[in-house]
Amino acid sequence: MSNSDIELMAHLFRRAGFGSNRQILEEYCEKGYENTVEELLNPESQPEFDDDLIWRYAPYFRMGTGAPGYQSYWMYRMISTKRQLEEKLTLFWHHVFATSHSKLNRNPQILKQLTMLRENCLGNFKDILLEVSKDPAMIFWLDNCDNHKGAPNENFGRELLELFSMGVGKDNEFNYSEDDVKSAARAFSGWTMAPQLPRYPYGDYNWEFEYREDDHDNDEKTFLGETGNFNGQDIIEIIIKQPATARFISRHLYNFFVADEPQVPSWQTTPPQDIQAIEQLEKAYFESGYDIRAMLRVLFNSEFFKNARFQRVKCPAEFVAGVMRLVEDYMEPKPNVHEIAYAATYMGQDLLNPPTVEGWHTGHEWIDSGALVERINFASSQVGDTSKPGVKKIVDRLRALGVEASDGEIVDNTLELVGPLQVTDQRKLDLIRYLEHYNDTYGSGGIFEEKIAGLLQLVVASREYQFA
Amino acid sequence: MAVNMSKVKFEYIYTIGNQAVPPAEGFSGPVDVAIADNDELYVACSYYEYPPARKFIIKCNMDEDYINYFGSYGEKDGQFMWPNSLTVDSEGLLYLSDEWLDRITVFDADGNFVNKIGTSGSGIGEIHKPAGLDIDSDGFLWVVDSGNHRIQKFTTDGDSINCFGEFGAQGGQFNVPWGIKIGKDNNVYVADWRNGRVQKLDQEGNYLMSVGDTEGDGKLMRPSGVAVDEDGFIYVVDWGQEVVKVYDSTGEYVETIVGDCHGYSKWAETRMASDPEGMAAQRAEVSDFTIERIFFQPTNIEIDSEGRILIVDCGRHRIQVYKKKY
Repeated sequence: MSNSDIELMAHLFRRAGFGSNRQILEEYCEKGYENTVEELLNPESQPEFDDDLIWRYAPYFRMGTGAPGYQSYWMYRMISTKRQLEEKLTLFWHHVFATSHSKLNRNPQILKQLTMLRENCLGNFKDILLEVSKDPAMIFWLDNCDNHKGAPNENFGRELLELFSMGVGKDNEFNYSEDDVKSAARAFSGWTMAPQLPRYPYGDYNWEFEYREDDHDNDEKTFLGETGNFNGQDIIEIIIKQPATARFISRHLYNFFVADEPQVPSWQTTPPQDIQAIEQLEKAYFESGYDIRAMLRVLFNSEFFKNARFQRVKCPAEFVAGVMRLVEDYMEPKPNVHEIAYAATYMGQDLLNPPTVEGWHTGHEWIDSGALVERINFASSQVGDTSKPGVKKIVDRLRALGVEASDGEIVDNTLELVGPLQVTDQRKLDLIRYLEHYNDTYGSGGIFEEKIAGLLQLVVASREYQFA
Repeated sequence: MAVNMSKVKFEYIYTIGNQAVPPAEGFSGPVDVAIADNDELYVACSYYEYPPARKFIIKCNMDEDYINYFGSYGEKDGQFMWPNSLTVDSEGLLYLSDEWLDRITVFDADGNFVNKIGTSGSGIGEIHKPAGLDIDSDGFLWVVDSGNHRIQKFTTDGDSINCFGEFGAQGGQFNVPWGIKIGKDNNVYVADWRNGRVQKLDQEGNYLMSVGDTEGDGKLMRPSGVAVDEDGFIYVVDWGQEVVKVYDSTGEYVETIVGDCHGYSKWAETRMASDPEGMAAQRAEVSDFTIERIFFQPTNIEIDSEGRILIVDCGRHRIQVYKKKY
């Protein structure tokens, strides 16, 4: 296999997953790129996640616990799942349908939403919107439980249009009107959840969706030019066929999997940076009958995807999970995974607690001086620990180059094993200089592992490593 | 004694528990219970790990009187990280297995650290992820060495006596086993967790029979706890299906217990009294209380000298108590 094959496969796994080590990348190169894409798009081809094992050792992951418990459970899944795209898409949908545990005060509910997103992640967008509309966490988060016949609460109806499906506008036009928002809200009246027992004395219980016919506004409504006695499902049927919806979900997929786009609120006036790519995705959306798997098949096999390397700033969750996969720690159940999950919080992504329903601003907005220091400290502390299996493998492969290997060769091979990671010539010179300095300081008395650990720390601290 | 199966009933008696953090009266994710003299209970709690971690042992009694708590999360002597099982010896010493630290910690009746048993590894006498514990009538300590997929017998000082089993699905082989009970017949009953069965073996590890079907009412998915009563009935906590399945001494399926908690435990009544309007108002809107009654993540089971069956209902922070009736 060629270096270009490995580089492309590494690119695919950084985007469609959280990264993989050299050995796994080589194995997938043997299978071929398109076959690997199909495997990722069909998660059932990989073993199911061992929930039973982690729940045995950490029973609280299933019980009523605070956000750190659910963040820990999810981070552990991101690090250790063999179904990488499934988990990456769960993260994608959490970005889109941003729901915060902090408001729910109903502990396992956010975990239930996460499970729903995972189960539907590659499905039909219409089904996804319907499940989200019936999700009790979403209903409470956006006050649809307060959306009554004759007394509508517009919060969910508005966000369904603005942030979950169409966006405010495209090509400098508005996609919907205030009257459409009101009609959508009325159509979702009566979509609520059944009363549930209190947390005490025997722990938390999940809410269940409940449709209350007597609280539903069944009068005539006009929505996006169509008129009828619409219910919530009818609204979704109308939304799903709008060109604006195709554009909106295509831009989201492009932003998450291909290259950083401007933030969502500017999409009405800021055109996509690659309109041809977006049009390909829109075409797949309609031709497949709104199927996310079909859209991603087009995306991952496209030239615009293959050529878009290191054009996305890793979000904190994928940065943390990627580092842990590199060092191969927490691949099996282990205590204190919250310490790893907290790292993403410190970098600005408090999983399951997004700042608003708009979710997180992505791209370069992930990086500020504080977040960058957190990233560097976290990653360097992990790769600097030569007892970690993944670090040990890198050290062993570099040692196998032999004593004759030049500093330049060691740097080149390290960058290969960490990514392959493309860095500037100046960065490469800086890394070689570090090795020279180490050799000058310690001579033959230096410790190879220590030298490589230091080199790895500099690599993960680089600007280039922040990108996927 | 001949038993007429059709007349056997398992009657719910009462509940001990309430979600609480000590010194408040209650449990936080109880995973096992050990019954000591004078109706005293030790309950190992394994709730969350993030600070402030909720891992401790609660001491109370069958009348739901809270006595004290001890232990904490950590690696020092007397601390624990992944507590799994408890048992008490004839001297009143308490043994606690820890699936992360690969050791069994011994406490006295007041919760003071006495000793620790176990060295991490796979050699004879070494253990990896120790789970279920029991002490037989001769005073030997039996340990489910789950990470090594085998069973080990020790003196209570930690000297290895016997070891049998290996990874696999044949008779005498195990797949991450969990609970263990030494029956009055001196046979060894092991909840063979990932093989979905309970195995009965003699003290030398010779396979005698399996309990649990792959289909139908007698099916087991992930059995975690096992107990055997004076009539030879075998009680299996199926963590995977969140029920307790009862079999007769030949392994024939008898009944499924799904959980019946109704009314309040003593501690729960106290808790309810602390917020009568808030909790009562929420409860008043609910019409179906099934979800409150049934087990959620049950883990283990013990039977006391009076035949009371204690089922550890981990996810609901309580122990449901049953009695067999004819």
